[in-house]
Amino acid sequence: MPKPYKQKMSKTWWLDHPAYRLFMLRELSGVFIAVYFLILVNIMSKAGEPEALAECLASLRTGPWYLFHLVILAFSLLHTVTWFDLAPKAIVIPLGEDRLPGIFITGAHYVGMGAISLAVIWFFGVFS
Amino acid sequence: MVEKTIILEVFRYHPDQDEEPKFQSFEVPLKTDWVVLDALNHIKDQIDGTLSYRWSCRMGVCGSCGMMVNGEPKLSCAAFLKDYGDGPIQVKPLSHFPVERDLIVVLDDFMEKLVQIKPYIVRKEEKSLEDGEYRQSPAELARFKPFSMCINCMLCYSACPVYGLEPDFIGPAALALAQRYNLDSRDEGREERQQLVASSEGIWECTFVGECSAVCPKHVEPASAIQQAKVASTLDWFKERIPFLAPKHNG
Repeated sequence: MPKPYKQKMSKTWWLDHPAYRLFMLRELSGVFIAVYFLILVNIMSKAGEPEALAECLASLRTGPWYLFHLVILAFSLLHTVTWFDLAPKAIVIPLGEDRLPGIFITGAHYVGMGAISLAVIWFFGVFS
Repeated sequence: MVEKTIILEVFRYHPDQDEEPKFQSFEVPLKTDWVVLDALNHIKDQIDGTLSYRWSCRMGVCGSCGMMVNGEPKLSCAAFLKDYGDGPIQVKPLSHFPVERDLIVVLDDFMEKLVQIKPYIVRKEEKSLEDGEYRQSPAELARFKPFSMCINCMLCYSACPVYGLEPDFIGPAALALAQRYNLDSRDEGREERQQLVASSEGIWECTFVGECSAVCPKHVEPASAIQQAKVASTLDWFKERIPFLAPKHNG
């Protein structure tokens, strides 16, 4: 009885191809966004205590934290750009025999993000 | 004038003779209009008749000749030798499948999954002949047509790291085919397919790497099919919990 050869998958398969590397970075970006969420929650938890809040913010305004925030920003941008680009693959709007071009779906995401960001900034009185 | 040549490093495995596979180098003519399949046919005709591989139409419609060319899943009839510079070109069997012999892989898992997703029109009630044919507009056809263009070449399974890590994953082609029928206006079988499609081995195993769509020679876009199925399944979940939106179940 002939025995088929079972091909093994390399443990570093995700390093072997540029598309896989980008995929892994995209997935990793979620972790950094989650960490940022925890940083924000920590700040918000001190909202009622002016001294503790000032201390928390002061400690975040130091070299290593600035660097970490830059890393978080880079991953957030990667996350946004990759997922907004992929949105048309999941959201298909048929128009007769054609479909709404992907650029409108992606564009709508950026417009939505901009609108929500402006609303949040306005709500917190930055414009006042 | 000395003819230009290129080296092919071909994966060899004989199930009765070899414990481990090995690579064998072959020097083949480098003709501008030759594809990897031509090189393999030259090897089999002129150099080593024992080389075993699948092929048929040699024009990218049958799906038989899928293999890894320099680490990329490709149809060997669509991979031009001139695109590989001075070579060498490494030719291996499709990744993530057991190897029967040389470049031939065991297809059974894929074949079973294709059947499991019910790739045919399912009706709750068949129309009688007197009622005439099932009519479908060009717009209705356009909704699922790309997903019907699959030639079952399995390049997407080789490109998908999830399938490599989780052999139970139904996989891109089978899920795209399920979506093809789910979107067909004549079909009423979506609920029946959901048990498998919306299972943990189905669409939810997919992490949208997207390489399946990138390697598909017929632009089927299986990744898109899967994500669309995820959106539809998620909307179902919400609809079932909102009384006036819940779908009516027959029997």
